[in-house]
Amino acid sequence: MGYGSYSSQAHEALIQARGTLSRQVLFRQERCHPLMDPRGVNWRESRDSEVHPTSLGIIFALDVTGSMGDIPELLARRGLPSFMRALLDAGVTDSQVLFMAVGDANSDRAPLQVGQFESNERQMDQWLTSSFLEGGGGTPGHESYELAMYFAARHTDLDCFRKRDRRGYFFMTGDERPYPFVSHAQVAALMGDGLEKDLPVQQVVDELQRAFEPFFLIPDLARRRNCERYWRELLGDRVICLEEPGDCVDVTSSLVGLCEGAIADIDALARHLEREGRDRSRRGAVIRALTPFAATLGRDGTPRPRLEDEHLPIDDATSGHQRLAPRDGR
Amino acid sequence: MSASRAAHIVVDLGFGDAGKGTLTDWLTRRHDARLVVRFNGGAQAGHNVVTEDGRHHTFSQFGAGTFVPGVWTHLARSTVFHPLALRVEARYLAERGVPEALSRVTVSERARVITPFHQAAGRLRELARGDARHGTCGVGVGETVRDALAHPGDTVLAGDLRDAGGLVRKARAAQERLRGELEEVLRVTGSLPDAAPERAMFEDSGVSARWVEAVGTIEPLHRVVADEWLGPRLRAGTTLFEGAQGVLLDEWRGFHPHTTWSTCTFEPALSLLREHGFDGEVHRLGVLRAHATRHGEGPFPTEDASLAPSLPEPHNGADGWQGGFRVGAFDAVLGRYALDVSGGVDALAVTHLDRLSSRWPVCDAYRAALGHEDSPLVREAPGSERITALRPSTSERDLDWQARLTRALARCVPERRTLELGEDPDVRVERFLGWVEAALGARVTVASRGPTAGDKQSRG
Repeated sequence: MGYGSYSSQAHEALIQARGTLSRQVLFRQERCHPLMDPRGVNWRESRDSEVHPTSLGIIFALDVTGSMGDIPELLARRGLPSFMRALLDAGVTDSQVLFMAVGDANSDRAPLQVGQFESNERQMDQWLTSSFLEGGGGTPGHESYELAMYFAARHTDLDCFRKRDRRGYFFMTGDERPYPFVSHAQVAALMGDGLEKDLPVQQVVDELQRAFEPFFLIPDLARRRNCERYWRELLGDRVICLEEPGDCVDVTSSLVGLCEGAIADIDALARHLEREGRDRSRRGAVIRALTPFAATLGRDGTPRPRLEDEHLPIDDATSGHQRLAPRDGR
Repeated sequence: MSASRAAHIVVDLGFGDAGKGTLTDWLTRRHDARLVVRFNGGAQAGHNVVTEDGRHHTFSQFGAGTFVPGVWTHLARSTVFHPLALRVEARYLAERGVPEALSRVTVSERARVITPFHQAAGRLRELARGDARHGTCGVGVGETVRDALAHPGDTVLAGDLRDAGGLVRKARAAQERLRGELEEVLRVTGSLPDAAPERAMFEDSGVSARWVEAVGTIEPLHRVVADEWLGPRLRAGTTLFEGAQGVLLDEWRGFHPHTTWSTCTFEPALSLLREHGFDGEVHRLGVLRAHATRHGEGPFPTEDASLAPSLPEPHNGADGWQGGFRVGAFDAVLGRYALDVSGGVDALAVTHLDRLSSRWPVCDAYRAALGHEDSPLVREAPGSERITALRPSTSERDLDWQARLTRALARCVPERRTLELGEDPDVRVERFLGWVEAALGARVTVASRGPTAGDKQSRG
């Protein structure tokens, strides 16, 4: 007898509107929300406006199968406001965010759900929480990620890219592999597109990269095994391994900041996170997740010595190695 | 499915914490039971079970047989149901490798339901008492029962969970009603930081709707069943009736006011069996520890804090609402009283026998000077100072008598005896159990030396 701990937790959420309402309550859809159905969508547009003259399109394609549903939940509970704030702090003022929910076309009722590009948190949140967390998933090892990439590649139109040649951002979370081909049958059924034949996923990635900086985020270290190698073959350094799903917001906003040049390098990012009040272990986790990619931008904070181009020695020329300090007395 | 139909009722003969959880788990496995029925108390229960592979869970509303695959839990009419705590507990169970526990629970449509307002009200009242705490668990069981007695027509029952609209209305009415009743309590607790979250429940008009929405996630349509549902299940095989708390905390038989709002004897289980015309074997098992314990406030004659270091208590911390965990010597006087008021047992189970030491303190009688209010004490002989038993009230429900018992106990000093149990652990156990059988006049058929099912042995 004498145990109150479950009951203490049970009602905590009720006095903060959405602290820990359960996933089913937060994401109330029982089926794909009609407005999020990709069928017949010609374009999802990210447009400049008077208020947002330099729009930047950002897509979150969130795997909503099984345990991956944590990430939409984290975003809905706490993440969105802090994502937007982090972008503002990083000097990205006119971001527009579109949410997609990714499932498995071979078994889910709603394998792809697509919102609209929105500039304000409240509307974003509506799209996010309208997405239906099916929690199913299908073939072990695969989800229909290629459909999300296909939709972003062929059905979005970004002013930042069209007018200013700036690419938008495409963040996909997941812990499985995509199917190797975009199935023309699935595309016809889901979006009404007529493809002549299946598209290799590599081709879809190439198309996606025209207008987007794509990133694939694996939520924790344990789940890298399933899929990391495969995604690296597709996206190279743009596969980001988180240490826990909760870092998703910090990592994505920092990626935008680094790519946009708003955050100079990893050291600046560390200071930024400290100002944001992240504790040491979280700062470390975010920085470890981002360092490999930051290195490709030359923003990982390591000193870069000026290298002179020396030709390799031929015949009996000196090797090019030189002593740095002259010997004593010589 | 076992062919024979039987019901095993497990009841704690002390102040709770004797080990009903691990015994329920063991009995479920041993008799291949398919159903555990909880028949008293509610979400304030905390029954610890440790599996052979080292997983530990404190069972609160789920029956302690839930680790065994395919075993269902039924929360009977006489329990008090906390839907959101059930959900939290299900999450914990999922982390312990039991992901589908929630789908194996049914609750009687007539079980009373703890709303956020009842939980908050109970806590606020306890905070307002200041130092005169009763030792509540802070779950809201008492408040829910009290409110249901005062406003039977407005009580939220599990059946109401099936209709969200009606449930919101009832919850809002409860919020209003309790806020009105708590005016004074809210005033007194105004400055206490601990009271802030509880007070917020009454200040926010949106709580009811959010609560109802959250309750929807336990799928009330699948959980809530009519009482008739139980009959066929009982006839289908072996059922465990897992009691909560302990006979010495019983609402009518415990030491008023340090009691719980539920009947902790065998009676609620027996009456369920009668109601459903159960014709199988019924085994009443009383559970005691090798020493005495008490969680929270109230009388505890043999209390002896110096025993605590030799009696480690891994799962019963002093945190939370109940206050500290107290220990003392085995008390045969209270044991006899518990047997007396619960109508006897078919057998005893004694737990924590791994704690026995070669010189083991026990108590077989108290001493108390002659005085007024002597009626609840049974003296060895007229005029003797030796108290060998407590006198139960002659009526079933006499709180005045129970309060006198509480006062009389305060005058009693335990007569300490030390049993010489020797060095060999097995001999110790046998000697001690022999003494218990003689002192209480009941057979001990289960000896438990630890938290897992493998630590239990059945005995002659």
